[in-house]
Order: sequence, then structure tokens, then C-alpha cells
Amino acid sequence: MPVPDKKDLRRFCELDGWEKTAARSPDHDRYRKTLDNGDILRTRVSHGRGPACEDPALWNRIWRHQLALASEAEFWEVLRTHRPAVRSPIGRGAPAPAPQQPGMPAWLFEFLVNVVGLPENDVLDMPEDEAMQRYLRYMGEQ
Amino acid sequence: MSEPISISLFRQKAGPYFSEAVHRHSPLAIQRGSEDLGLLLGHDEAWALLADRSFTPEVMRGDGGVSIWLPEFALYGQGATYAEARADLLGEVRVYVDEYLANAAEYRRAPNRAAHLPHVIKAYLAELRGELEQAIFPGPPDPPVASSEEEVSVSAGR
Repeated sequence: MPVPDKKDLRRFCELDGWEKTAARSPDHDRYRKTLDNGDILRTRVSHGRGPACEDPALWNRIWRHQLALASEAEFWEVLRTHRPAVRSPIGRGAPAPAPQQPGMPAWLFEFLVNVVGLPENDVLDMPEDEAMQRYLRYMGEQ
Repeated sequence: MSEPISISLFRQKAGPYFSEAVHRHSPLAIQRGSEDLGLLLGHDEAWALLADRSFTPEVMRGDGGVSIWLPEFALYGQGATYAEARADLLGEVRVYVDEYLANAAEYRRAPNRAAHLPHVIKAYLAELRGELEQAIFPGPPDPPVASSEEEVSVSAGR
């Protein structure tokens, strides 16, 4: 499924009963929602048009951890039905298994760029296991 | 163990008690009435208590830039470059810590926020020390101490 547009995420927040907060933020609208079990959800939408975020892996984390949905389909279901998300009484429901979400620890990224001297884009394109091998190889040579 | 001092006594000698806690590193329990109990703790001691709380940001490449996810707070930063995403995330952490501390009673009751408290305090103290960036973006994990027979390996720090 595609990453939603900012307007989709704003619309989701409206339909799902989130409140827009007054937190200081010149570039974003911030939203908050308290679930029946007391969980406090927070998310933000940057101003302007375009995708809500640039990265499908980040979007996976947003719907799972910020919107507390059990699946991405629930997000689109809210937009389709114009009804709030149906979350289980304990809040988060039973999340589906996480999809593959490429990423690497920031310390590893920074080490390879700042210490080893690899180009930033090369490291960003590198799978985590390869990045770790480069790190271990470098450390072994020191 | 020493008994808590009363709030009225603390009011009378706040300066010396503060020095005792901060400069002589001696935590001070302060009681008001029969139920309210507080603890005056030096910054160094508070920092030491939180030494094992660390942050584990993850970097991801998107179609149009870089994003960084911070699992301890369920926050992200994004930008056209890593530096922009990093700065964006640090800004988000500052906003969240302010928000959490301003609504501490409510956030500590929230099942999905209660466990954030030690990390919130850590980030707050780190900011006061001018070390927020280092706290949120720590360097490589220390390699495990290996015996001569064991192979040294380094985990991903998660």
C-alpha cells in the first residue's frame, strides 16, 4: 500500500477523533488522542502537500506505534468508512507481524560515514548486515 | 538510615541542604505531612542512576530523503539529508520532553507512556548538561569483554 498523503493523515486524525494540539511547532500540525485504556497517542503532520513521510519503512512505524493500529489496512478503512478506527479494548489490538523494515543503528551509520569515511549515500543504500561487516572489518584492521 | 527532614526545616536551611545533596553527593529525603515524600538528588547521582538507559535511533533511507526512528519515544525525524533528519529528531525529542514533564501526572498514568519516564529524565538531564546529541546518538557500543578463548564480537546495540 502507498504511503498516504499529508491530507490523508490529517483526515484520518479528524475522523478518528484526534485533537489538534497547540504545542510549539512552526512547521507541523500536532495531534493527540487518548484511548479508553489511557494510552496517549501522538503524531504530527508537516505543513504543505505531498506524502506524509518519505519512507515506507517509517510509515510502517508511524501507523503501528504512533497511530496504534493493528494493520495498515485499518488506516485506509477509516478514510473509506469515515468512522473511527476499531481498536481492541486494550488499545493496540494484536498487531500483525511487522513487515521487513530496512534500517540500521544510527551509531553504525555515523561510524561508517564519519570514521571510516564512506559516502553517506553508499551507507544509506547498504543493508545492515553489510554495514556491520564493514564496521567489524575496520575495527579488526585497527 | 537517616530520617527524612521536614519541609519546614528544609525551607529554613535550603541552601546548606542543597549543598549537601549536590556538592557532597548525599541525597536528602524531605517529608511534608505524613504522606508526601520527596528526594533531593544531585545531578551527578541522577545521571548515574540513569546510566543504563540508552537510546537506539535507527536510520532509514526513503524515496526522497532520510528518516530516523527513535523507538524509546516512538518519534521520528526526517529530512533531505542525514543531518537534517538528525536535527529534526532532536527537535522532536525536545518537544516531547517538554510535553511529558508539563503533563507528568497524566503521562505517567498512560500505559504506553509510563515506561518513557527514565528516558525522559535522561534526555532532560542531558539537555541541561549540553549533551543531548550525544545521549540520543551514542557512539558504538562497548565490545563485550572476551576471554582469550572467546571470539570478540560486537552487537548491533539493540
